[in-house]
Amino acid sequence: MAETPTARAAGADTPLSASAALKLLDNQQRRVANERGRFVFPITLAWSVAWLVGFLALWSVDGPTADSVGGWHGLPLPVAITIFLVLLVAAIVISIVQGVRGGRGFKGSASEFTGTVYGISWSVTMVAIGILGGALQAHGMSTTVANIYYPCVYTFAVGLLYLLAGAIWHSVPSVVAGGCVILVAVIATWFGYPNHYLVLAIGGGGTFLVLAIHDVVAGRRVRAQLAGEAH
Amino acid sequence: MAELDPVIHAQARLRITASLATLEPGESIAFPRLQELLDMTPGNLSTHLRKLEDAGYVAVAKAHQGRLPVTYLELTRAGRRAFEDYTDALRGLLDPS
Repeated sequence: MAETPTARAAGADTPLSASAALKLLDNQQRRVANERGRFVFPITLAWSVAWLVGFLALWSVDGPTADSVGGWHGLPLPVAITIFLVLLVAAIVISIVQGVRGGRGFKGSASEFTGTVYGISWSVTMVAIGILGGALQAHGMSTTVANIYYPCVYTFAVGLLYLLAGAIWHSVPSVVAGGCVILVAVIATWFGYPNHYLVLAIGGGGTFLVLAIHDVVAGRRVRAQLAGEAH
Repeated sequence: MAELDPVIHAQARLRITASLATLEPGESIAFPRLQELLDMTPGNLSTHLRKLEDAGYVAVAKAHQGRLPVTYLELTRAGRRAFEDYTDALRGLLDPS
């Protein structure tokens, strides 16, 4: 089998100075970290689209007035709910598929326990929010308040889980994004129906969009640096 | 001058060891995935892995994914320690204070 020039260069046993060795070592470890983190970008992008478009669709049901949005009266409720649910399911599927792909080729991680517990904590939290909401409604919470409770508390929980992920896996961008999403959830609640959907769409979806762009730019920068140093 | 471990101090084996050192203790990586992360041919990677294995730095485990045999690799405790000593020695050479 013919070797590629890269492979030959990588395999060559030419003498290395201490500084060149340290640089090579550091570059290789950055490359591994970068490659292992690449699966996250499609997940973040999927959630940013789901929130931006999904919450915007829900807001449009009662949000726009004839004056504010050029005579448009928004989407009918069933259409808005369908859009929101389809995007939500798509984002969940993309997260699962990418999560599995991200772990491809690695096994027996000592942090498997952490990852599993963290994954389960998402499901537990989301189910708990639903049951809590059901109990509140059974005790007289109005539909108007329920319309605020579910999306805002759900968004708050997502922010908190992102913040935790950042703390566990030492990712400052996740900590910042989590903090922003918590803030967006709190502010949105004060806006009330229907403009809380607008705050969640722009604030929450926007935060994830910025995070996705940050991921792709940072990844490209590392790859460009490594390619530049390899030649 | 501090001695640099000759098993690790060669471009290919340094890159292999550095990659494996990013894994957590107990975690291992499949041969094809490691090959992707290193841009090395299977033959070249095998040759260098054998040297690391002979030195007791890398543990090789065979597993099966369906019908396909897959080789998983990880640093041994001695390998991890040797890599730490090696990086300490490098830093010592660059900053002898």
